[in-house]
Amino acid sequence: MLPFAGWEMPIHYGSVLSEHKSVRNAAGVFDVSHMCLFEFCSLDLASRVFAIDIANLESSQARYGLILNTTGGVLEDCIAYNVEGKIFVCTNAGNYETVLRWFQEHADTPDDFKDHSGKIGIIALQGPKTQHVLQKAFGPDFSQEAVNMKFMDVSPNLKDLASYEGSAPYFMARSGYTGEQGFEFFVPRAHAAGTFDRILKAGAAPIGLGARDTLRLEAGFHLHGNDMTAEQNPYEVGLGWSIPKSGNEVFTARDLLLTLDKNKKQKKLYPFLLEQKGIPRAEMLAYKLDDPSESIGRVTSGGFLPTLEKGGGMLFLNSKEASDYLETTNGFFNLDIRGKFVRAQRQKKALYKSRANQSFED
Amino acid sequence: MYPEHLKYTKDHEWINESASPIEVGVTSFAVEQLGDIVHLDLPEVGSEIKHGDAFGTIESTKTVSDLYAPISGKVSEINKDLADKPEELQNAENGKQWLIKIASTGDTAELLSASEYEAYIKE
Repeated sequence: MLPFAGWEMPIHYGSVLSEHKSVRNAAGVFDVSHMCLFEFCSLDLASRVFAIDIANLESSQARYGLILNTTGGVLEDCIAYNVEGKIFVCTNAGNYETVLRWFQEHADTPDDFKDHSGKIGIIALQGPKTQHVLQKAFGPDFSQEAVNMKFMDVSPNLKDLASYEGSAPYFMARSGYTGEQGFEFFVPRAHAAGTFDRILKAGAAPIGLGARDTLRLEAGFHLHGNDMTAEQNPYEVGLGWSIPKSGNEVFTARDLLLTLDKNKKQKKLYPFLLEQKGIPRAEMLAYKLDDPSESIGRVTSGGFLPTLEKGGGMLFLNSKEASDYLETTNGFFNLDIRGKFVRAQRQKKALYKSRANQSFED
Repeated sequence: MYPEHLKYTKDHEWINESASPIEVGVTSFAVEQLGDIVHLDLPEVGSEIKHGDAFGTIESTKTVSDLYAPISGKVSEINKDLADKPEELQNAENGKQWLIKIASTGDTAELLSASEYEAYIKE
């Protein structure tokens, strides 16, 4: 067990590797109730605090996006959900206080938003066998309705999921953090354990924090504090795509980002794989193949990637020159693993192609 | 679980002094603590190692740990099969999966008997 943001979290329920494989090949269930959930009663506040076009987020839709500070730095990433006109936003537990303060600073009245964090249960079911598990756990009607949902769809209909009458803030979404098909269920806290158990008994493997990290790393999903920070803008870390191009959004850093110098928008974060055996870890430094004197970047997240059976992770380059250099070496560089240079290659595509948006097959 | 013919260190290595050259491995207790083993970094054959010094590393999905030499001497063989498949350590009995073989100079770290080691890890 690992103390994390005031919660006791299991790193694994037995084996990180087998949990990882369960999610890739079958189905896994995660208790992520430590994550935060906010409800925005003021659309105006939501439009100011998120770099998401909230006003154009349709009912029953979810969208990934960022919270940016006044200088355009990434405070946090999040998913916004429109549940029958009500706006909910799920954020990480590690940044709870920062995010809460950010909302409070921008709110006109304390009623502009509600904090449901810690008061609800969040259970994720992920993997190619999700459909079968749902059917077994909650019956064919519920399962059919769920699998008709498309990636990033939201539904308030949880009535068959547990023996309670659900209404917002209780809902489910076809979202996740693994690169597999699946759902996240936002349920009453009193029903969190029951929901988890029913999914578990229906055949999903329980998944801890360790495999959650290796799954997201393979799929190329960022972890705040590692792969993005308040000191970095979204373009540098490859999240420029999430910034709305048009719409009614009025988020705080918009004008600043629009006028940002082109050099500062240069993407610097890339996935990489080791060519040789070894395990990269965060903060290890990258060097040119022929020049061990000055580092060109550092690992922001790293580890053994079970699906690829290789070491890999994410690399943040120091400069545009570093990126230009990698163009001349076909991406190859040296990684300093505790004093030993190990050959690695920068990748331009995600290490694992996400299947999250594939439809369910019968 | 901890065979009597082996000796153990507080750094969780075992040695088999009845083998020639002497075999060195890592205890099942250490493997259990580390979790899934995904990488082993072993020294070059022919390198000299000194008891108490790190001679390699063992990595799991969670963390990396140094491997400490229980005895001094020259590395005469490394277990390449194990380095290629470090997961084989997972359910290995103590004394079965050696990491390196050492031509000993006779100097050793503080070595524990099986019962002393078992008492030590229960502390």
